[in-house]
Amino acid sequence: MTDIKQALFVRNLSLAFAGLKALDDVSFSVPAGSIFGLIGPNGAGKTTLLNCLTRIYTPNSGSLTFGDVELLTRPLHDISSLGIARTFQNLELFGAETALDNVLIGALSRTPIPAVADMLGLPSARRILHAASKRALEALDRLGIAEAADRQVATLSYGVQKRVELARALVTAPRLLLLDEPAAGLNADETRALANVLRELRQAHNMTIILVEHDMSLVMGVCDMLVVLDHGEVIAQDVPSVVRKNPEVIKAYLGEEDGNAA
Amino acid sequence: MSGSRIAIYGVAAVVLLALPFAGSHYEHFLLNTALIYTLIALSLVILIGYAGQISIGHAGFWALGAFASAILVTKTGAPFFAGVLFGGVVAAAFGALVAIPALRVQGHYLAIATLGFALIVQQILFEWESLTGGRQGLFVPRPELAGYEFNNDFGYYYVILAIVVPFFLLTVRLPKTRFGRRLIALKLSPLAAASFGVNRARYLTAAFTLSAFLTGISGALYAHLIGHLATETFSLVTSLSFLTMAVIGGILSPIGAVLGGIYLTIAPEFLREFKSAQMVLYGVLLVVFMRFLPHGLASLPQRIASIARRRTSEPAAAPESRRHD
Repeated sequence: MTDIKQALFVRNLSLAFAGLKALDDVSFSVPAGSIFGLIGPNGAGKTTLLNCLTRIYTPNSGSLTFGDVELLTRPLHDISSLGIARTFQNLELFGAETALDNVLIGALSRTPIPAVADMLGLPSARRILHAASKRALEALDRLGIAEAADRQVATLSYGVQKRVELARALVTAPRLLLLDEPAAGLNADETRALANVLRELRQAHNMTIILVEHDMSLVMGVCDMLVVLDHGEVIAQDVPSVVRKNPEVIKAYLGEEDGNAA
Repeated sequence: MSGSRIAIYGVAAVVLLALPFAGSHYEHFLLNTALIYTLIALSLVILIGYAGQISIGHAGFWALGAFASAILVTKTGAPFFAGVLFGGVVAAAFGALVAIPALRVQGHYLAIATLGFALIVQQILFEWESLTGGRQGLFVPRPELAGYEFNNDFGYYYVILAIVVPFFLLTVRLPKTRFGRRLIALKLSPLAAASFGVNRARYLTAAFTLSAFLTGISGALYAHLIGHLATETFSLVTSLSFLTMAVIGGILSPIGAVLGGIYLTIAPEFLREFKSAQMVLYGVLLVVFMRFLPHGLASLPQRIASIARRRTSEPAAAPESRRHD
C-alpha cells in the first residue's frame, strides 16, 4: 500500500458524546483516486466520521490529513475550498429553491465575484453567474435529472433530491467526494446508474470517493477498499472480497442484518 | 431586460415622478414619510426575508442615523448629504456590533438582544444631553443641495426618491447575486451553506451591517424631514411598528416593503384614537397577518388566485410556491 499515493490519513481519531464513544481510536488511510467504502451497522460511527472530516464535529483527539493540509485546523466553511464536497444522509437541500439554484450554490462555492460587480450586476459578474448556471445544469444533466432543473426541490421525489445533492457536490469539482448513503431511496436501475457515475468519476476525473452505504451490492460492486466500523472501532480494513469473508464483520454486521450481503 | 419589464419600470417611474403634483403640502409630507418607511422595510426584507435573522431593534438604528446626521450637520455645518451618509455609516457600524450576538443566539434570544440594543440606544441618546439635547431634543435644519434649501416637502420628495429607488433596486437584485444567493442558502440550510463555503459569521455580519445602513440613511432623511428630533420617537413601539410594517407588506419582497411603507404612513391616521392601545393593535395585526397572509400584502394576488382555484376545482389545489421560505 505504500507505493500508492494516499489522499487522506485518518489517525487515532476519537470522539465521545456525553461519555458514549462514537469513534474510538480510528485510523486508516484512503488511496488517492479510489472508491473507498465505509460500512458498518447503524450507529457504528460512519456519519460521525464524515462529520469530523467536514469539520461539523471536532474530535476529542486524533488528526485528519488531506494532502498536506491538517483538516482540524480549518473551519467548516473552508472545507469546500480545499476540494472536499459531500452529500448528507438526511438531505440538506435548500428546499424552497429550484433544483438548479441548489446546484448553483455548489457551482458558486469556489468561484468568487468581487462584491461591487456582484451587486451592480456588471457584465463580468453576469458572465461568471451564467457560466456557473451552465455548469450546474450540466451536473444535473449528467445525473439524468435535467428536466427537474426548474422545479422547486422540496416537491421532487426522494431519489431525485438525493441526486440533486450529488450534483451540488459534483459541480464543485472536488478532489475528495464524501457520499452519505447516496443509494438510499434509489431503485435498482438508478443504483446501477449511480455505480456507473462513481466509476466514471474515479476514472475520468481521478476523484477520491468515500462512500458510506448500506446497499451491499453497490458497495461490493464499486469499492476498491473497505473499512468496517462497529461501535466506533475499525474491525476490518481490506479489499471487498476479503472483507466479506471476515468472520468478525459477518458477526457484527452482515450476518446480523438480514443476509443482504450477497 | 424584457419588454414588459421595461414597461413596468417606465410606468412606475412616471407615476413616482408625477405623484407630488397631485397632492397638497400635507400629502407631500405623507409621501416622504412613506418613502422613508419603505427604506426601513427594505432593510428588514434583507435582514429577515433574505438572511432569516430577526430584529425588534431597528428603531435603534433609525435613531442612530437620525441623530448622527442631525448632530454632524448642526455642530459642524457639514452639508446635508454628508450628514445622511454619516447617519448610514454610524448605524452600519452598530449593525456590525449587533451581529455579534446574532452569531451566537437565534430566534427569541436574538429578538430580545436586538430589543435590548434599541432600548440602550434610546436611553443613551436621552441622557447624553450635551450632544442630543436630551429632553429638549434637537432642531434639525432643512435639507439643502449645493446652497439650495428645500423649504417644502415637494422638492425634498425628489431627493428622497433619488436615494430610496437605488436601494429598492439593490434589494430586488440581491437574490440574484452570488452574495444574495449564498445568504438565502444560509437561511434555508446553515449546514449545507457552510459546507459549500459560506462563512456564516461574515455573511450575517454583512447582512446586519447592510440592513442597519439602510435604516440609518432612512433615519437621517427622517430627521431632516421632521425638523425636530426627540428621543421618545425611537421607542419600543416604533421598533414593533417597523416589524409589523415589514410583515404586513411582505417580508420576502421589495414590493412588499413599499406596501408596508404606505401602510405604516396611513395607519396612524386611523389608529390615532387608540393612543396607548396602539401596541395591542400592532400585535393583533401581526398575529392576524402571520396566520392568514404570512407573506403579506405583496402575496395577496397569489393568495386570491389560489383561493379562487380551490373554489373552482376542488381537488387540484396546487400548493402555493413561494421562494425562500
